[in-house]
Amino acid sequence: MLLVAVILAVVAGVTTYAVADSPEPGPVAQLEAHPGGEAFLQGAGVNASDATPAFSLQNGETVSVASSGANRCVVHTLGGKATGRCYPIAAVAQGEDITVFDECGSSGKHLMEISGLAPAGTVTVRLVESDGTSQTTSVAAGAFRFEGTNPVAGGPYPTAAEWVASDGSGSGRAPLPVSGGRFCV
Amino acid sequence: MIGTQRPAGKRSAERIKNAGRSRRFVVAGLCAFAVSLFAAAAALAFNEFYGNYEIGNGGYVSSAGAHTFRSNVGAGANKGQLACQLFNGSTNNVSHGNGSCGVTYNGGQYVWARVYDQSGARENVLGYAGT
Repeated sequence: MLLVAVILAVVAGVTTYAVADSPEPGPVAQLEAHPGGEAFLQGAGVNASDATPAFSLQNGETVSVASSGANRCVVHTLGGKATGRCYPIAAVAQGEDITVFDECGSSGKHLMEISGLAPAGTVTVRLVESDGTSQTTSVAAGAFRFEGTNPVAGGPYPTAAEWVASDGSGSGRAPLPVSGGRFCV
Repeated sequence: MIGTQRPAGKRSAERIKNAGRSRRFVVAGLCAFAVSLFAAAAALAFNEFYGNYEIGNGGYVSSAGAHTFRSNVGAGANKGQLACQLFNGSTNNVSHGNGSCGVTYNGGQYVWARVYDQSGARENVLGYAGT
């Protein structure tokens, strides 16, 4: 009996160590394992259809929010196709989930939409432009969005999002995942 | 005439044999129908992995050709900036993200799929586009 208990304890210990020591697979591995727009959601065990819709973008995309353990997930859905990814809370504060969408083709409306998750306690997000000007938007269902048009050549362009708490104080700043002049690649 | 008639037992056996043939024919037909449906669905749906090799900052990996892609997802080995693109002569949808990106397009035209490395460094980049 004692021997069985010892063996079980050793197996449990080894398993716990192995799980704790396993690094989370990177985005490339996740995409290989779960091909498709929902690759990073499936990798985190999230079903896109279970996400709570936060708002719709002008291009028709619906932006939804879901939770997976300590992670928060953002889901973009258009025409039944979903893309998205989950992020640890700390990564949300650093703006790692922020997406900048640009409709750059001649047939489109030159829409630019910036969306993402807001850290807990954030009620307003301020979008800062390269010329120092800014605009604000309210947080809805833990997410935010800005809509505008593609930056014109030589003109100002958005550079960062700032988190603003209910008392008006800033609680952090996150750079956008695009540099000036690269919005339409 | 009576002499040419087959015995009742033989006729019954023949009827059972014919019924078996009919059933086999129906099953074979249904199988063929199912296979053709599967083939049609497979022909309509098209998915493609591309890239999965290291490129420099500003470089890109591309789909082998244009297709009626509706989604394009990119992933990088690091957390660097990536841009996913679906484009043709008049359409150019681009989405930027950190470490991964995803862009959708619902216009129904043939578009190319690309993923750009905008991380400022060399990076292994993988793309996956689907109709």
